[in-house]
Amino acid sequence: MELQLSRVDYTVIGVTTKNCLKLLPSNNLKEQQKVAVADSEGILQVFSIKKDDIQLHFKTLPGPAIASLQTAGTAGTAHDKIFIACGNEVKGYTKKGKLFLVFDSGMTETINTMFVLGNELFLCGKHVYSHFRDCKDVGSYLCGDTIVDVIAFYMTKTKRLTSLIACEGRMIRVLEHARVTCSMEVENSPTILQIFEDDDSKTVLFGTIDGKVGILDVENLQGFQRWLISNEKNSSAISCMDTYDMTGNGTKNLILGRQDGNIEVYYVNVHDAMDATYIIFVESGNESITSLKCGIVSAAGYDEILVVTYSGRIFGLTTQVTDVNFDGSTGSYVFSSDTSTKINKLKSEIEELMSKLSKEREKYQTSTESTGLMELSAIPPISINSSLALDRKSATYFLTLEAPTAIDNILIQCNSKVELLDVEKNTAVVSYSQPYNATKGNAQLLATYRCQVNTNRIELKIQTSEGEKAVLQAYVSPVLQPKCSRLLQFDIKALSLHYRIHEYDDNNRPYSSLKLRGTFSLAEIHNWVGQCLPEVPEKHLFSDETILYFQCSLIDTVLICTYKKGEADFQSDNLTTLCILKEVLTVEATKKKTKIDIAININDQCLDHVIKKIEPKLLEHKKLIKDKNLFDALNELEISEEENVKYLSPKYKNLLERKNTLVGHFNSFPDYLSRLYDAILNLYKDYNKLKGIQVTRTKVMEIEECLQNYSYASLISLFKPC
Amino acid sequence: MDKQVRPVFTLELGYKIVPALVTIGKYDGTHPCITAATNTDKILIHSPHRKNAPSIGKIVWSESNKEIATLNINQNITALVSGQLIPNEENDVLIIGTASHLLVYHVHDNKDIFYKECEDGVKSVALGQFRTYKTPVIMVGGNSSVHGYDHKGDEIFWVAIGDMVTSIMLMDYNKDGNNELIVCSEDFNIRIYKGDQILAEHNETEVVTGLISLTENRFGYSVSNGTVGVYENSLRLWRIKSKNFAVTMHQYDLLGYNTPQLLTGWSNGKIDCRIPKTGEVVFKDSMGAGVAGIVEGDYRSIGKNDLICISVDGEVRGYTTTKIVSSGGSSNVEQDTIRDLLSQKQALLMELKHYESNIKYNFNSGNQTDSFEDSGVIPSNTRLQIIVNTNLEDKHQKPHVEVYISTNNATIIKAVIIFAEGIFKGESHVVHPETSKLSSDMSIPLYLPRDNAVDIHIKALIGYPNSVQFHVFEITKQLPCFSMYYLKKTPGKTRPEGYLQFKINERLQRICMWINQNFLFSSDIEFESGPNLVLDIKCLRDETDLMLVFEISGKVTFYTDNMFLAADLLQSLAGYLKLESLESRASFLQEEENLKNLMQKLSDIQEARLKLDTDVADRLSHIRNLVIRAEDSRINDIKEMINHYKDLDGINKELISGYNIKVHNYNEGIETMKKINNILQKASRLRVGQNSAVMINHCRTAIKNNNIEGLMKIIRTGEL
Repeated sequence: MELQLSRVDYTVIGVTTKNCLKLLPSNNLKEQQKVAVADSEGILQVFSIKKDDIQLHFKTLPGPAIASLQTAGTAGTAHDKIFIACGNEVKGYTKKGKLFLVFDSGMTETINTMFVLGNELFLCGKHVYSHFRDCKDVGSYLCGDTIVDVIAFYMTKTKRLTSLIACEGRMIRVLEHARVTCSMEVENSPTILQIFEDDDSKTVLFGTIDGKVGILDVENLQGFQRWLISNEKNSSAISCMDTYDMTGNGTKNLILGRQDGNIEVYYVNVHDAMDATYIIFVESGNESITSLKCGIVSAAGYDEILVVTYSGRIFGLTTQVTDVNFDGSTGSYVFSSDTSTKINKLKSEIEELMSKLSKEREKYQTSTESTGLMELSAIPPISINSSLALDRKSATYFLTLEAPTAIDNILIQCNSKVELLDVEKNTAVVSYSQPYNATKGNAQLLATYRCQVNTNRIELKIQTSEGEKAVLQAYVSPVLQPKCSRLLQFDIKALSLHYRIHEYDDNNRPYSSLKLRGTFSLAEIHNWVGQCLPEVPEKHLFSDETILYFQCSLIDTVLICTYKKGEADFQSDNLTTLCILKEVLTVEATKKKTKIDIAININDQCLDHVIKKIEPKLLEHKKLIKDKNLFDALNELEISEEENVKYLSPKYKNLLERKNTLVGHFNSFPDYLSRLYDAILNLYKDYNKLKGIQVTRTKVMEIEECLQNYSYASLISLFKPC
Repeated sequence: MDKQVRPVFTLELGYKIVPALVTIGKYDGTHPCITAATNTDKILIHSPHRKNAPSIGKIVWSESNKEIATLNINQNITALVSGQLIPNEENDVLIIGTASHLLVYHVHDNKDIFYKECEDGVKSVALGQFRTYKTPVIMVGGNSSVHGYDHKGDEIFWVAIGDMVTSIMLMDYNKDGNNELIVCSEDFNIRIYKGDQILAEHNETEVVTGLISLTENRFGYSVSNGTVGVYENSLRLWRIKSKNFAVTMHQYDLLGYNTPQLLTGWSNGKIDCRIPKTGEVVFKDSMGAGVAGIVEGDYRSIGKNDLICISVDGEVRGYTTTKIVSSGGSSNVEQDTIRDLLSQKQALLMELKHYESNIKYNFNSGNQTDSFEDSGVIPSNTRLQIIVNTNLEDKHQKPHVEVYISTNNATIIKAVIIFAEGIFKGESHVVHPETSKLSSDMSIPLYLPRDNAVDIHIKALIGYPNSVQFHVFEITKQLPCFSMYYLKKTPGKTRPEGYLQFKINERLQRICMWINQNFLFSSDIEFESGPNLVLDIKCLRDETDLMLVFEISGKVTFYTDNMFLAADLLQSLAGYLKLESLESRASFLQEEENLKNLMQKLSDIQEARLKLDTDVADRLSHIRNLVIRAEDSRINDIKEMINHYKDLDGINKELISGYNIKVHNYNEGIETMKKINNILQKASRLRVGQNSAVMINHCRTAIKNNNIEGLMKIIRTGEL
C-alpha cells in the first residue's frame, strides 16, 4: 500500500448515525482541529486531542437522538457554527458551546437529514424536503420515495442555489426553489452524497448500498456519468465519504467508510475516465463506520482520518508514525508515558463504573425479588443496525446485524423455505433445530448462531425461493446484563428475487399478461404490489398511472406493472412470475373482501423465450460441474506433482490451472444449477396450472430427466406436446 | 494489522499432504527431516541437510528437488510416527501404519526393522515408555483394541477398547513418574489406562480426534465438532468451539514466556497459539490452505528447535521463539490495550444506562399511558419455574424427558433456546411456538441418546406477544446420568433374566442418595424398613425393564438384559461410593450367546480368508502360465493367442471378484472383532479396579487359546 496510517483510539460515545461528525476549522492550516460529534443519546460534544487524550470543550445534556450534525458559517467567515437536528428542531451552537439558535421547523416528520449552506437550511424527513432561508420557509417538496441524504451548493456557472436529494428508489433528484428540475436514475439505491471540490469545479459523488461510488454530472444536467469505484472486491454499502489530500501531493483522495467496517483511501481522478482509480490504503474493522472526516486532529502537521463507528467508538488513522517503544536492555515492550497515563486513567474510570454498577445491579436484583407493588423491569430497546439486501449476482440476500455491544447469540426463525448459506467471515457456530410441529409440512427455519467473544456484527447469507411471502425473524441477544433479546422482522416478498429497474426498452421479448379489474383504489393496488415485490416505494405516486419495472436476478426475466384505480396490468415473459402474482393478489384481495376479475393471456412464445434465457446459464453451470468432477478426478491422480503434468493434454492442464476459479465459483454459487432446474420445473408446472391442466408425476420426472441431458428441442417438445 | 511473530523461513514441498500425517525425525541421529504422507500414498522425507545421496532401495529421491525423497507405500497410510525405538541407538526410526499393516522402517540404514500384519488394523500409533518396560513401546490403536509391540515386533500388551481408536498417547497423567496410556475412541470417550486398569474416563460430546500431552501433567484434546480443550487430571480447564476443526496440536514456547504454549492448526488454515492453562489466544496466523501438521525441529541448524507448520498444499513455515513483541512501527500493543479498555468501558456504560432508564421508567410509570407490552416491559417479579420429569404417557410422542417451564404471571414465553452438548443434532434446540399458540407455560420433550449426565442451558425469551424486545431468563440444569428411566408405579410381575450381582458394605440410605442423584424420579426414594429395597424401573428408550434390588445384607442385584446398562450402573455406583475394587457375578445369557456366535463367525472368517489366499496363489501361477503361452503363440499360432488372452481376461475377472470377496470378508472380520472387543470391554466394566484388570488379563489368554467356554466363565465370574 502506498499510504501508511496507524490507528489511535480516542474515546467512546453513544450509538451514532451517519453525518454525526465534523471537524471545526482551525485558524492556521497546520494547527490541530476541534472535533464536533453527536450521538443518539442527544449529546453533542466538542473536544480536541492533547497528548493522545481528549480535552473536552463542551458537552450538552442528553436529549432526543441527534439525526444530523453540520457546520456552517456566513459567507466569508469560517465554518465554525455547529448545527444539530433532533426531532423536528434545529439547534445552533458556537464553537464555544453557546446556544445561539433554537428553531422549530414545524415539520410533521422528524428530521432525518440536514444540510446548511450559509443562511440556507435544508431539512428532510422521510418524505418531506423543506428549504428555509434565515429560518423562513421558502418551499418544500413531497417525495414518494424515502429520502436518505441531502446536499446543496451553488452552481459554478450559473451561481444558482441547487440542492440534491438521494432517494431510496434508485433516484437522485435535483431541486431548485423546491422544484424538481431533474431526476437522475441510478442503478442502485444511493446511500450518501458528497461534493468533490477541487480548484474550480464541483463534482457530485454518491455511494450505493452495494458498495459502488458513482459520479453525477449536475452542471450539464446529464445525470449519471460513470462509476468511479466498482464493487467487485467489496460489495458492502458505502456509509460515509470524504475527500482530502492524504498523500500530500496536491490532489484530493477519496476516503470511504463502509458498513462492514472497512475504511479505504483511493486515488481518484474525477475528470478523466481514462485515469483509473486505485486503492492506496485499507483498514478493516469489525464495526460499521457511520461517519468519517479528514483533517489535523491528534498532532499539528499530521493529516488524519477521524472515524466514528456505529457503537460510538472514535478513532483516528494518522500519518504520524507513533514511536516504537522498546526497552533494549530487557527486550520487552514499554508503554510510552502518554499512553500509560491514558491507560491508567481508563482503568480507574472502569473501576469507578464497576463499583457504581454493582450497586445498581443489587438494586435491580432486589426489585426482582420484591413481591409487593407493581414494579416493572424496563430495559430500553437495544438498537440494532440491520440490513437485508439482495445480491444480484448470486441471487441471494445478505443479512447483517450489528449491536452496539458484543452479541451472545442470535436466533433466526422463518416461516417459509429459506436456506442459510455459509459466510467465510462469519465465525459463529450455527446449529439448526427441527421445528416442533413440522408435521404439517410447512417448511420452517430455526437456527441459532452462537457468536464468538467480542462479535458485534454478524453477516448471514440467505437463499430464498420465490413463491410465498414470508417473515424472517431475528432475535439478537447481547451479552450485556440484564439479558435481553431484541426481535427484528424482515419481510421476504413473494417475488423476492426481483429488483427494480428504471427503464426497459427491449421490445423483442414476448409477453404474457395478467389483467386485474375491480373496485380497488390506487392505494390498495399499490399496497398489494408492495406485498409481492421488493423496492416498491412506500407511497404511491400522485400521477394517474403508475408503471414499475422489475427484473429477476436469477434468470433475467422482466415484469412490468402498470396500475391505477380499478385497473392493473402485469406483463412478464416469465409465466411463473405471473402465476405467483396472481396467487398473492387473489389472497390480498380476498382479505380485503374486494371483488376482482382476473384475466390471463398466455403467450406460448414465452416458454421458448424463458428456456432460451436460462439455457446459457444452465449450460455454463453444467459444464462447470463437469469440469469440477473432472478436476477432482485429475487431482486424485497425482498430477499435483510436476513430473506428471507434462503428460497431460492441454485441456486438462488448463483445468488444473483454473483450480481456484473453479473452487471459488462453487463456494459463491452453491447449488445454482438446481435452482435453475427448479425455475424450469416451476415454469412447466405454472404454465399448466394457468392452462388448467393437471400436472402428472411422470411428466415432471420426464422433464427432470430431460434436464439432466439437456437439449432445447426435446425440452420444448415436453413443454408443448402438440 | 502487523503480525507479532513472522516466519523465520518458508519453503514449498510441492506435494499435497494428508492432514495430521506429519512428523519429524532425526534419522541420522542429528539432522531433523520433515516427514509427511502425501495424498498419493507416499511418504515424503524432506532432508535439507543431506550431504551425500547414499540411499538405494526403497527410497526414491526426487529429480526436481534434491532435498526430497519419497517412499512408496501403495496402501492407505493411516498413521505416521518417528522416534527412537532401538535401544542404544540415537537414530530415529519411522513407524508407518496402513489399514492392515505396521511397518517400522530404519530410514538411515534403509532397512525394515519389522513389518507386521495387524488384524485389527492400524488407526493410530504412539511411541514411548510404558509401565515397567525398559525399552520404548509402540502402541497401535486399531478398530477395537490397542496392541503394544516392542522393538522386535513382539506383542507385549493388549487391551480391548470397544470402538475405533482415533488417537492414542503416552504421558504421565497422575504425576506418578510413569507414563499412562491415553486412548480416545469413536464412542466419544477418552480413557486413561494404567497398565490394564482403567484409571479414568472422560466423556466428550463427539468423536475425539486428537490428543497432545502438555507440561504440568495436562493434556489437550480436539473433537471432530470443532472443540479444543485442555484437561488437568480429571478436571477440564477450558474448551472452545469453532466452526472449523482442529487438525493438529503442538506445544512450543513461541512467545518466550518460558512455558510452552499450545499451538493448534485448524482445517481452514488458521494457526493459533494459546496459553494452556486458560485458553487465551496470544498469537494468530493463517496459512494459505488447511494446516496438515505442526512439528518442531532444529531446521536451521542453530542449536535450537524451530516451530514448523505444514499446510495441506505443502507450504512449510518455520517460526521461532520471538520474545520481542515488535509490531513493525505501529504501537499495536498499547493501542490494543486501549481498545480493550474502551470496549469494557462501553459495555459498562451501556449496562449502567439500562439500569438508570429502568429506574426512570418506574418513576414515571404512573403517568405512562401507552402500552408497555410492546417495548417488552415486564413486571419485575416475573419468575421462571422449571420442572424436569420423565414422561411415559403421551399419546403423540415417544417416552421422553420433559422440561416444563412456566412464568408466574401474564407474560408469555416467546421462544426457548436450549444449549446442550451431545443430545441434539447441533448444539442447540429451539422451540418457537406459533403466535396463536403462545402461552405462559411450555413443555419441551428431550430425548437423551446415551446415559450421561448432561448440562442443559435454557434461555427463555419472556415478554408479551407483540413485544419487540424480550427479557432472557437463563437457567442451567443438570440432567442426571440415568434420566431416561422411569419408576413404575405398580411393580411388574416378571423380571428380566439377566442379572449382575455383587456385595457392598454400605448403608441403604447412602444408596438411596446415589439413586436420587443419578435418576430422575418424580419423588425422592427413601428407605424406611424391610429386608430390601426394590426398584422396578422402565427404560424410556426401548421400554425394557430394569430391576434394582438392594438387600440389607449388602447384596445387590441388577436385573436387566442389557449388560452395558448394568456396567454403567455399577461404575456409577462404585464411583459414588468410591470403591477401589469390586467383584461381581454376572449372567447375561443373550450376550454370552452373542459372543459365542461372534467367536464362531470370526473363526469361520479366518478360515475363509486362508482359503481365499490359497486361491489367489493358485490363480497367480495360472496367470504366469497363460502369459507365457500367449506370448509363445504370438509367434507360432496367432489364433491361439486370442484364446489365451481370453482365458487370462477370465482369470483377471475372477481375481477381481475374489478380491471383492476378500474385502468383504476383511470388513466383516473387523466388524466381528469390534463387536467381540466391545463385549469384553463392557464386561470388564462389570468389575472395578484390580478385579477388572485381572479379568482383562484372563480374557487375553482365553482369546489367544480360542477358549470360548473359558471366556464365558470369565464374563460370568471374572475369573478363569
